[in-house]
Amino acid sequence: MNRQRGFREGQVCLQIRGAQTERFLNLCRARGIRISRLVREQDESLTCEFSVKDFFRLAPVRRKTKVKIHILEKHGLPFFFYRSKKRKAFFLGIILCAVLLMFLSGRLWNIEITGNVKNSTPEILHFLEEQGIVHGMACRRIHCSAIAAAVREKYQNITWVSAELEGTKLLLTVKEGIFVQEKENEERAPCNITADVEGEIVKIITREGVPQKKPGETCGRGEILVSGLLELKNDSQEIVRYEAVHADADIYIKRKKAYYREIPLQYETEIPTGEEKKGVYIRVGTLYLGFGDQKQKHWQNVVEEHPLFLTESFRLPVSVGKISKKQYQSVKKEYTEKEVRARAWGILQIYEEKLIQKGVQISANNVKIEVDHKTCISKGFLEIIEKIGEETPVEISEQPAERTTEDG
Amino acid sequence: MKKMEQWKEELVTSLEVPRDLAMKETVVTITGLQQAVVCNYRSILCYQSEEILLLTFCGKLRIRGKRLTIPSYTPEEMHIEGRISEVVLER
Repeated sequence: MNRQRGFREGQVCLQIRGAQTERFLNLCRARGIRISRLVREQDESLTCEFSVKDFFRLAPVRRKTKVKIHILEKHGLPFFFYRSKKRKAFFLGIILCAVLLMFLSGRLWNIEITGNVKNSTPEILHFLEEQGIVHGMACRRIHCSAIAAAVREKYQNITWVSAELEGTKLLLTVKEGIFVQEKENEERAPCNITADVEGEIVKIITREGVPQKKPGETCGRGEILVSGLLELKNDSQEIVRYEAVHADADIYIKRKKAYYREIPLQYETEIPTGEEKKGVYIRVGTLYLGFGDQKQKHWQNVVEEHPLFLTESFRLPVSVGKISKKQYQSVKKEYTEKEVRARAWGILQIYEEKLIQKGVQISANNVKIEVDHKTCISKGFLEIIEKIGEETPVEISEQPAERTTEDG
Repeated sequence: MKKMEQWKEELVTSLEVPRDLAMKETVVTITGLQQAVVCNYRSILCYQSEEILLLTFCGKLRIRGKRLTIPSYTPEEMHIEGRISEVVLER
């Protein structure tokens, strides 16, 4: 604190010589003159620091004690400004800096969004941009309540929004509600479930509608599997009327899926030579400035780009990138029979895994791998069990005529 | 005069007023071997790099050591730094 005050008000470092140095110190104390960094030197002189204000109060003390005062150093802002009075550009810079600071502190430099899970931050930022809330805009043009209202209106699943301006930061706090889509209440149109592929029905679980096929039967493409048209009958088993419903069922069929893969025995591979090079680049908008070797052929380039952010959400149009280059050689090679079989088997396994991920069961694998002098061919079929069925509209039949007593 | 002083001391003791405030008694705070703070002193009698002799309200205070400096010297207190080896109170 004292140092800051000394720097602000200016300090002088003095050398005091004489026979009555102790008396000089006592008189200073009596007059309330503050002394700091008091050191007795080898040559019996005293070195100490005074503020500029106190320095000018030393004259009567000096006269009384007959000490000699010699100024060694001058520190602090008053001396600095005195020394720099000819440096006009320097002071202009300070003024410009202050003006710039005032101007920039009135702008929005950071938009922070918290509490959002379902609506991503970039999405909300994009919406704010559409509303005219962008980085760098004047803070006085921001109306927090209007922003909060706009966000609430745009995003239905946001139940509460708070927009707050903290200095140059816009803090948007949101709370998202849980909305369960009410499918049950949705009016569902009547439909049939028809087969979209051919196969043998394995299992059929009907929740709504009339099943037209039984497990073990085969179905063709476009055939109705579950009808959405209910026939309501009376006690004499006569159709009284038809009622169309939304057919709902899980239908599993077994079918054969053809598989064919061809792998040439000769292949080209890239072998790294071990030579590596690194480079950097700067991208400003569409301008690209690269440093380092720009060789392209037979070099693998791995580029890592880091966009620069001024704040958490304010991305500058400047990116810095790192390029790692590895030289390689293209070499032609040939698989051995064992290798190619292993590769073909691996590809088949990956294909099967993808099918399983889609919810398909594989009941049998009849794929054969054959190798001739040029290629390795994997062909055959997989027996799969999959869920099928597509919704098709119901053809509503004419309602049967109501029977009267006259009809017999 | 002695009676007056005695009466004052008794009053200070009974009221539990700190003696350094009431009687202007010197307080010397020593932190390790490097630093000392002296409050309530009257004047400096002698200042050398090996010895500082202070006049207090109840006698003299002699601080001996090596490379003794006074980083802060105000009417209220004095900070002393250096290699302090000895502190002597003299009547």
